[in-house]
Amino acid sequence: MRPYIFNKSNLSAYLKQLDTVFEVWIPVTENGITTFNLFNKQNDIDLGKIPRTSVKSFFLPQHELLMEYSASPDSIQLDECLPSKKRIIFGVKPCEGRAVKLNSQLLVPETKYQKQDLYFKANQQNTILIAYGCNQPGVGCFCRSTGGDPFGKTGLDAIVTDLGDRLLLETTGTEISNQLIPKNDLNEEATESDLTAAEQIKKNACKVLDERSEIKVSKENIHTVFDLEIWKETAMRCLNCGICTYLCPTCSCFDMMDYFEDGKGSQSRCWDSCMFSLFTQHSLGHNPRPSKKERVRQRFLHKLRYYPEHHNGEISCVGCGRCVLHCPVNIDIREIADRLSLNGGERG
Amino acid sequence: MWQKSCDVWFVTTLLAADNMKEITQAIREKAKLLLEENKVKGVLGFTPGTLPMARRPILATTLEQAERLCWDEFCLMNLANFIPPRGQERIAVVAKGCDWRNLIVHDLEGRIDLENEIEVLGISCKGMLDTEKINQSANGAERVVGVICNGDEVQIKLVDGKELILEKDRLIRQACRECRQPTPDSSIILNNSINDSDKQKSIVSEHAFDSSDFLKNIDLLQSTFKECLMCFACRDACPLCYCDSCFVDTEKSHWLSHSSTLEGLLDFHFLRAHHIAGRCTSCGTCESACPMNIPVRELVKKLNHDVEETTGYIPGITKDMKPPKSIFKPSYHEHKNR
Amino acid sequence: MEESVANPYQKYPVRINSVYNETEDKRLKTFGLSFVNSEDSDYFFSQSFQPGQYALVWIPGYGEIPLGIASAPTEHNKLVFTVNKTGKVTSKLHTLTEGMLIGLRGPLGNGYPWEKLKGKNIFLIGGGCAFSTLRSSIKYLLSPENRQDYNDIWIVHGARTPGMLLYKDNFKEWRKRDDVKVHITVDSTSLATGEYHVGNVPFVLKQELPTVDENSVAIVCGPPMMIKYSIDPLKEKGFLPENVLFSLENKMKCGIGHCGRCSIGKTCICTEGPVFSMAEVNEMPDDY
Ligand SMILES: Cc1cc2nc3c(=O)[nH]c(=O)nc-3n(C[C@H](O)[C@H](O)[C@H](O)COP(=O)(O)OP(=O)(O)OC[C@H]3O[C@@H](n4cnc5c(N)ncnc54)[C@H](O)[C@@H]3O)c2cc1C
Ligand code: SF4
Ligand code: SF4
Ligand code: SF4
Ligand code: SF4
Ligand code: FES
Repeated sequence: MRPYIFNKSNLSAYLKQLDTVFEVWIPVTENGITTFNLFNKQNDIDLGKIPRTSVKSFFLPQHELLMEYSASPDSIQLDECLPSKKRIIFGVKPCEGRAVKLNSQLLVPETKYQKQDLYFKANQQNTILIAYGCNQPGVGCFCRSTGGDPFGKTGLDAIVTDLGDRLLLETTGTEISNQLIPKNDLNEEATESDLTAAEQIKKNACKVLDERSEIKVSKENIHTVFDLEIWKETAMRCLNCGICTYLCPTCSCFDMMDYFEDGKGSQSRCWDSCMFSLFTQHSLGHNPRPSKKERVRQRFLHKLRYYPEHHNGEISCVGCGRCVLHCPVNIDIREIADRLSLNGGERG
Repeated sequence: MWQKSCDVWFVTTLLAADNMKEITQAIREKAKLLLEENKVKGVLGFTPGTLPMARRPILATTLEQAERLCWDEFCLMNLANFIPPRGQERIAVVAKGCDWRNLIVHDLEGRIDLENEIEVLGISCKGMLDTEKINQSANGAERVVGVICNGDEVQIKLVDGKELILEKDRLIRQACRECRQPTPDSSIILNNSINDSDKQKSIVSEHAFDSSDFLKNIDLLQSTFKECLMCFACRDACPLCYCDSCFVDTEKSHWLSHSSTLEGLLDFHFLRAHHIAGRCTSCGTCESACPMNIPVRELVKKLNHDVEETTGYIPGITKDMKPPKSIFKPSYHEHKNR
Repeated sequence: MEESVANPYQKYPVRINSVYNETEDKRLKTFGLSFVNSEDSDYFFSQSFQPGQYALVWIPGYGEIPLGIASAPTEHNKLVFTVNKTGKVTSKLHTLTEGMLIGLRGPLGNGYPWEKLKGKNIFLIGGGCAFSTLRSSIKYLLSPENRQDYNDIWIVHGARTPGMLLYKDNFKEWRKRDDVKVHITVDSTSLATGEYHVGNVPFVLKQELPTVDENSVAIVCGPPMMIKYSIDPLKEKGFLPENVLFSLENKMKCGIGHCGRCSIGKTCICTEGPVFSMAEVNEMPDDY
């Protein structure tokens, strides 16, 4: 099937078509910050920028209800709150599709011995992702170094390439993706020359990114890696805040909590971060990761070492650059990955 | 190779840092001297990072590291926040006005011994730039490849090869516009030469809004804080949020909601505002750290104002009085009669 | 039911049947629980529940905590937990009384490797609330259907004072048997009855344990200090690193390997553990 093509000026007509199928979310800039908002007349779509918060919020919301219940000393009635709202997110970055896949490998594993997170699974089934390819990778981007691609289709239902005045829309063949085909007068197939133009754009984008070298998983003995000087150096300035983990599309750690009032209650979960001391602090005070050093080390080794060991060498960073761009003290995962692989990794 | 691409960013960055060559040079020289003479264990300052506007706090302990110290209008973090715990060897700290004020508060609160443990390398500051404003003009943080400050202009190189020229004055951080003391009172000021008219420039007080508005207008309060992620970077970047165990770091209580619901985040901001009331120096580091552009500082302004009005204490400027919070004793009768 | 995959966060209602104050300081209470629905009970016990596993115990409105299961699979439909009062959920649990309902999910994690332990001499060493899974193990080992599968069984239980010793009724029974060697020790006591050793657990290990070969396995559960100082005496007696088993207690929330907090290096304690041998622990990076 050939991709479709329509004039940029028709984008909002296309979004309206989608809006009749499911609710549509688009990147919108408000107060200088781009986040996903409901598509409506008031909101102007702001394509191309890297949204400050990632689509993670649609799959693993910052605050998510798991169970609602009524409880008294002699009865407990539990209801699971599985999400059911279908929605289309238009204008995500291709790397975010990969991030959803990486999280899915952890939360919805296919082996029957592991438990599945039905909430993430439902969100995955209910959320349609249409990406906007990256003609011009940003200064913090390094998706190609992590096994991704600025026009990659992993985890996506469709992807749009910006040809300047026109948009080229390719569906990826997922079950739902034929519902995304433009209708009526927007339904026009791309020509050979459109495809060539798109190819050129992709090539140019990759060229920039390929100058940034691949991230290799270090095979050095873990005890040696633990004692590297880099952790102390990094911890000196790390604030142990939640910026990097909360903005990251692949960080998925959460906390669970209960609320209760007048016989009714709920159990929910919300994002948590390995950068916080409370994350591992035991009830009796012992903390396995007592200082910034251990916590910084955990974040990077989890992404660059532990996750790959469980998932065929794939690192759990898609190179979106959010943590690079927004860390207040410039702790840069590219630099850390580089120094890690210099320390015993098999580097190309 | 990465190393190579990292180098490219380091070089771009240095270009930007160069415009304050003299200060940078003065810092490096002084730092090397202090280290060579073994007067300090390290020099806390800034060094360029991997992005054009990124300046990293660093405790330079070797001559080689001292040679990489820098100074320009992106040294946003408050270095008082990075001082090692008490009782260690003497260090030197590069300090602009607000860093100095926070050092004073730390000293009054007994957290550091400013006289005996710290050598302040003061810098008279003309204001730091708001990187978020630059990012917005560039249409995204990811599009800024290089930034060069030339006099009153800021030249921004974009990822598509284009260039932007912006007026520097409009990019100055809000907190710096409201600054009450750009120059430390330390005995060493590395850029003595700054003239008063330059200083004056950064003492204009421009209030975005009065924090007491929040209390009258709950919608304003909610819309201002609704995007807060509860990442706590504001707390973690604040030199005054140094409690070993912060009120948010407990699971044992039931009164503080940990979730990022609106109540949860307002709980956090209100409680934090009360913890820094009469201590906050309005340095703006919290706002610089915030990834969501939230005017964190505004909430405490009203409280700070009240403390100043009733006690005359100005955090970081008043030196001859104990912090109001540590001497405050509500009279039993007043309390009862209310 | 049509759905094929169960929600791992679903809990079974369980009723508190008994509450017993274990120790003189009243910080340790033992709760006897039973399932409200027999399907849940069948499911729980059909999950090949093994001594050493834990469950997440949930108090509506307060939260869920991991607790080692102190009862054995051989005590059908009965669940026992011993709880140390330390924080929010445990304090609430201590206020609950007979007849009340709470929730539970599990069994979770891996128990001790009972299949592999067949034919071996087993040394169960512990103190404090961590003794819970050892109670489960002892009940299991001493039950008529299992006893013949294992060789010698030794129990070493220690506490600060006689009033802090756990499971007194059980110990009375066990001491009567001639197919198990029981050593109880207290750090100090004013009553010299000869019933107890006086000294800490590592001291008793040094004094009383025989030298062993590769056919002996020690399961050590207790406060970190006890574990730390037991390692050397055990090594001296000849226990191999792969034959010393621990149950690690990391902070946990989800219990199913998803929330990310319980890991040590690449190892997820809640699903791959909590039981690990000393050899395995030595391989782990120093993050516990
Ligand atoms: C596998 C395993 C088996 C355990 N078995 C027992 C047992 O048999 N008896 C017993 O008394 N205790 C046991 N514990 C420890 C027990 O889980 C904690 O004491 C309990 O979670 C403290 O909860 P709290 O709400 O009272 O404490 P708070 O300090 O209020 O803790 C808040 C939350 O943090 C988590 N948490 C805090 N500390 C721990 C910890 N040490 N381990 C796990 N989660 C923690 C819990 O989710 C808890 O609700 C076990 C722990 C593990 C991991
Ligand atoms: S690396 Fe940066 S963003 Fe992450 S916790 Fe440290 S200071 Fe915050
Ligand atoms: S670690 Fe940083 S660059 Fe990698 S996916 Fe997360 S936020 Fe993006
Ligand atoms: S609250 Fe903000 S402005 Fe006030 S001292 Fe702390 S970081 Fe500076
Ligand atoms: S730094 Fe900003 S987003 Fe983070 S907690 Fe503070 S106000 Fe909220
Ligand atoms: S308890 Fe959540 S991952 Fe182990």
